[in-house]
Amino acid sequence: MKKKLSLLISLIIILTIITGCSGRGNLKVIVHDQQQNPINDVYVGLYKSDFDQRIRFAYTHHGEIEFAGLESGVYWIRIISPGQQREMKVKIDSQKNKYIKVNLGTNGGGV
Amino acid sequence: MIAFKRKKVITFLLITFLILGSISVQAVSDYEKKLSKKYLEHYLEEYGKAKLKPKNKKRSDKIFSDLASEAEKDASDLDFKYYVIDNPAINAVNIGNGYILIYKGLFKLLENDQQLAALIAHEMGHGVNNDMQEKIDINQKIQIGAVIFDLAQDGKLNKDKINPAVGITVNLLVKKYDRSQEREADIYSAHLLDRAGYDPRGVIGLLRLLKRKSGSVNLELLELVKSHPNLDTRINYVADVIKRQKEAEKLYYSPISTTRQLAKGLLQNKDKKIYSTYAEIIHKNFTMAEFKEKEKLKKIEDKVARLKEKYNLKYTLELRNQVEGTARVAILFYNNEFAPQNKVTSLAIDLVKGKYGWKVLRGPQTY
Repeated sequence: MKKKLSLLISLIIILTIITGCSGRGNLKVIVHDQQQNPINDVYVGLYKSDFDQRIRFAYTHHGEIEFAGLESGVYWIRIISPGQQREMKVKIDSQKNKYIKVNLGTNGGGV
Repeated sequence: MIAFKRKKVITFLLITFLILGSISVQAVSDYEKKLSKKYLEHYLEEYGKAKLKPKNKKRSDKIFSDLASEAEKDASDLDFKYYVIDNPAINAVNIGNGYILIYKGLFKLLENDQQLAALIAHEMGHGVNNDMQEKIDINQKIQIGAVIFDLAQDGKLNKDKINPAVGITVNLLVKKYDRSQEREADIYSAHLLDRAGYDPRGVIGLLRLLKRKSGSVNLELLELVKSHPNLDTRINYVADVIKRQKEAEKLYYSPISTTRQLAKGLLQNKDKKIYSTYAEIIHKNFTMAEFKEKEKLKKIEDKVARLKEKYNLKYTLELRNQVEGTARVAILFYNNEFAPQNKVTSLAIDLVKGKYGWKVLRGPQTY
């Protein structure tokens, strides 16, 4: 009976640790124009797959936004400035900082 | 061999238990759909649909359709339908998946369209707030927990306990929605009525009607009052919600109007005014006293106060961006005249559209 109980307790502890500890990472987005000047007031939305649910949003301040403490995994981001829009997929790894530089002066974006 | 199998079963159930405990289900599950269908069939078989006069049927269909088209925006996965069942009890219930049952006893008691709309909106509130799924989740966790306990205790399963469908159905039939769920449904109904073009005061009318009737109607028939206590408390908080709605319509109807209130608060150094422009999520995290201690805001307030002493301060507002229910507004402060060379400082504010109009979520921060 004691053996069974200790097995049960160990299982609960292990499973709680496994389910409770998912890694987290940070995402920083920098938005600039063709001359590399930072652009303010640009909307950056962070979504779960296929934009079905927004998780966070921010507007750029000095051309930057930061989403800290994101669960590791794949996200979508939508960047909107009046008259311009970009969408991209981004992977967040545990314990890592991800930087994305977006040039709103062209049709491309760089990571 | 049997002991090994049992360990495997316990491990599997533990994993399921932990997963269920950590996942919050938002959409309507297949189980809820099945359960609602079963529940509906049971009621229609037991009592049948009430025969309504064509005139009454037409007006209740119209009210339902007006409200459903708004509520669908909040919960597109629900299949909103309503049935008036031939039962004299004064009751109405949301049975999941958007299905609403109104008992004929209550339907006949309603005095006007506002009360009917309020009743339907309240029941839709239970659907949109996912109240049925919450009950299913809790029941499932209890059932699995009971199975693990059985196995761990003596290694034998009590077969009566492991039929979750039986347990859940019985529990759902017996248990009513709890008070916080009723409160959320009341609040949602006031907002939904407003959005759909109905008078939100219909909720108060409905609650007052139930209060009046609780003294004169056979209490056995008054199921709705038995399961929804504290009518006075409900009338008070719904009245408060409606009052806030009306104030919000005047003050916070756009990102610019809310930012104007914030700018006025900063210039007049009125913390209460500033605090009132912030979103509910901020109010949940900070009381007015804690909010006043926020360092960043204090710095901004001090800065504006210093500028006010030094200059003849004027301000203008600019909507810089507005996307998916969010907005960025800038407050530009000038000395004397609105000319670029007279600009003293500018602040960025992030807003979100909520129940009470546009509210500040972040900022102000200096550009």
